Amino acid sequence: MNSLILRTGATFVMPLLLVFSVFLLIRGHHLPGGGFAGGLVAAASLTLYGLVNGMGAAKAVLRASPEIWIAGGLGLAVLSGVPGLVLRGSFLAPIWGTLGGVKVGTPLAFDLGVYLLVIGVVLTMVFALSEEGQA
Amino acid sequence: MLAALGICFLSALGLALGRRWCSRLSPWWVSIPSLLVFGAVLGVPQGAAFRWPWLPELGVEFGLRADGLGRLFALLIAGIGVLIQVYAAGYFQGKASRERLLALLLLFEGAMLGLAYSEHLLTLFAFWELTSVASFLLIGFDHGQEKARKSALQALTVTSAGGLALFAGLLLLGWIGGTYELTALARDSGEIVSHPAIGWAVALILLGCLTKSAQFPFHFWLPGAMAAPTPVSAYLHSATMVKAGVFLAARLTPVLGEAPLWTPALVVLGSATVVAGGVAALLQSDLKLVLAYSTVHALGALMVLVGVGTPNALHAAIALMCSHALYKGALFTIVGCVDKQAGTRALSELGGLARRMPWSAAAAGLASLSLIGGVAFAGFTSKELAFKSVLEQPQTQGLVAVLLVAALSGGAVALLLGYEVFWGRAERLFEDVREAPPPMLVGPLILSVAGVALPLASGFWENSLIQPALRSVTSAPSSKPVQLWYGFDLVLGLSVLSWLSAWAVYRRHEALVRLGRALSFLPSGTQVYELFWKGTLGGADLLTRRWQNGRLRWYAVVTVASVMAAPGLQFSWAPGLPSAGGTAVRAFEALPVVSVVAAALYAAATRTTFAAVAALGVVGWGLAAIYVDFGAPDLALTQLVVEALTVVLFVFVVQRIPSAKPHRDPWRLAHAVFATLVGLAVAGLAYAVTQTTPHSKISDWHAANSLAEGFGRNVVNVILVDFRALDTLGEIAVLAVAAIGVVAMYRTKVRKGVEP
Repeated sequence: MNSLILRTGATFVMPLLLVFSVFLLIRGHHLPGGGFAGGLVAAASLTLYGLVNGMGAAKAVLRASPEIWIAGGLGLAVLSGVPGLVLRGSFLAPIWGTLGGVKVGTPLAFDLGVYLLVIGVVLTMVFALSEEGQA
Repeated sequence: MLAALGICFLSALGLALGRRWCSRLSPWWVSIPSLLVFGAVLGVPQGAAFRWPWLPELGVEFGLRADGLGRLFALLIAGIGVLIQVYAAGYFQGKASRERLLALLLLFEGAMLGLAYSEHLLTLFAFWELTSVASFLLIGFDHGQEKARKSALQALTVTSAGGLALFAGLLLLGWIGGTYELTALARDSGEIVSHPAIGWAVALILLGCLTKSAQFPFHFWLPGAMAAPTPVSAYLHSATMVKAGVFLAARLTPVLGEAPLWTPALVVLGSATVVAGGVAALLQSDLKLVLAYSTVHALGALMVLVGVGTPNALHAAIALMCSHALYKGALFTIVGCVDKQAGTRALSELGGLARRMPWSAAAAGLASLSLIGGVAFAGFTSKELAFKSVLEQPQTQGLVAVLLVAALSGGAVALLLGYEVFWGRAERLFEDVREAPPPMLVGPLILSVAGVALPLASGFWENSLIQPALRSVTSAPSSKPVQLWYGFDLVLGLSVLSWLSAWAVYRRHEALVRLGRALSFLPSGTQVYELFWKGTLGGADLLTRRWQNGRLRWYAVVTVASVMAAPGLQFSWAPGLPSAGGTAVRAFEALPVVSVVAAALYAAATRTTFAAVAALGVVGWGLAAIYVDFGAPDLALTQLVVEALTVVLFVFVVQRIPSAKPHRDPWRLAHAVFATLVGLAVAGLAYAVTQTTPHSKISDWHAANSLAEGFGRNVVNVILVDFRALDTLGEIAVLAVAAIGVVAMYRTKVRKGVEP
């Protein structure tokens, strides 16, 4: 992975891809996208970054270990179901409201949880496999 | 009832949690919970009931009802429970494990009480299994010893195998009868027993009863269970748990008493148990094994009586259940005293202990007199009733011989325990042996005295204990009440005969023990069990090595082939597919299709793994293009990214595979053909699915309600995060587990230094 073009390109592309992944996540409610796709794109961008700059750098970008991201995503998804359980008596029932003129609801939190978890899962595998590759 | 159960389970928990604090208490204090339980059981009124919908969707209910039989059984459990727990607290005084034992005993007691009070068949089954589990923990209590662990596992395997059969049988019975309520089932008994499937239900239920009560040919686990500490043996394996099978058989007599198979199976197997246990008891020299086998034959006699099923026989069975619990509990606890004080349980060494242990000797004497059937003891009464009940019908008179064997063996065992150990001659003098401490004497003394007191208070015994219990198993009255003395008749003659022959057998006991040793080459139940156990393990080993051979390709073939088997069969039966009604293929659509096919062929043909991986990536991207074309952008987007990531992951893996260089694989063509077939099958399946028109499409509902209820225009996403959010939650949980699995797999391999 010593291509100069790839290295320079990846450095520019990664932030763009990350923004794109968040865009996908939010836009998923009305148009193609969503937590799964967004998470995959984010994970792919980080993988690319890791391929070029070494997995250590990708881990540094991630800050916490991917297992923590999995736990956080799963936890957020579960928590997003609680308001529905409390207010409407059904676990994961959607609750909607407006915040600063923007409509937000528990499904968004749920999708965010999916997003985080997908990043964590993909990167867990990538890191594990690449470690093996270097061993 | 609930109070009794609650005290049991809560104090078991309390003892387990607070064992450090409780260990400072004296034996008397830690037995208080059992005393409270006994009080609660005494306070349960006749006919008390409790219902709580457990799983109302499935018709499962937590239903309890205290009828006569349940109350009597509960009284035995709780009453003996108090004495045993005082005894156990003394037996384990000063040992760190005392509280654990008491907690387990209480847990067990709670399970037994629940069993006694159960009205709903599935509630009964739940408690039944709980007793098996508690028994497993108690037999394996001394878990540092391999023998204890082995015996515990053996008992658990046998009883829970029976438990499974019982479960199936109870479900069948509930299905046949349309209810799980015992009272309702007993009402419809006439219809139930004429149902064609009743034979299966009876067989399965009996299997449960027979294994639990250690009946032939499953009797071998009970002597093995003697690895448990003596208080446990005394409680579980003489007085209570092993009687659960007899109890259940009696419980179901009103329902299944007239069913085919019921009487013959119980009588024949019970008789076989009497003979097997009765003979084996006389061949042992270890006191505990003598008692274990004598318990086996007593249980056999009980089963025979329940099987005969006439009012008098059931009456005798209930009386025998009481008297047996009393004298056997006493004898077991005394054996524990002797073992602890004298340090041995071998009959050949023991003798003349009466001077050293006078109280034990007195208790043992009384209990033995009851066991031998001494006039005016509880054992005498129940034996008389048993003989009379089988004599009254011509077709059951042959069973007198079986009961005689039981009486003979019981008598000889009584002589060994009551006389030989305490009054017989021994080479050792046992001068340093002292009497057991008071907590260990209370139990045996009370139990053995009760064996005399019950017949003395025969009115109370008959009217308050036996008759209510009898009324809950049969509607007809019995003609013979319990009495102290029945006059000189044939049955008394039989008793005298059994006493004389017991004496004769007792005189030859040493020769019998030698015979037992000489016969030890014969295959025993335990050996059969171990053969079966080894066979199972060996078979599993063979199967695992064949199917889990570590080759990824083999796994893929097996998995895909089994997934495709069902739809494939369907196609082979109905080859004619509905005609296609689709639109014509447009020119630009051919491009992705052709490239997918070409890339797949290349992947199958190329010899470098790397090229194959890249080709698979092309297949994936081609598919994504097709998705776009057919209006599934969400899917296409995900597919694109997944393909890219998969290629990256594959590259990581391929780097590590040592044989990444070009190679020949003789199986390649076969795999390619197989993959093509599977692909065709999937395509056919997808085609068939799209050609059928279901009555209502859920996708229409989703499309219509996505914006209105989910406030989103992207139907796919609304389904994922709103309508079907719970499914998605399940899926992402699976993802998380998969990631953990990958990490675990890799970390272990790296640590061991094994190439993947």
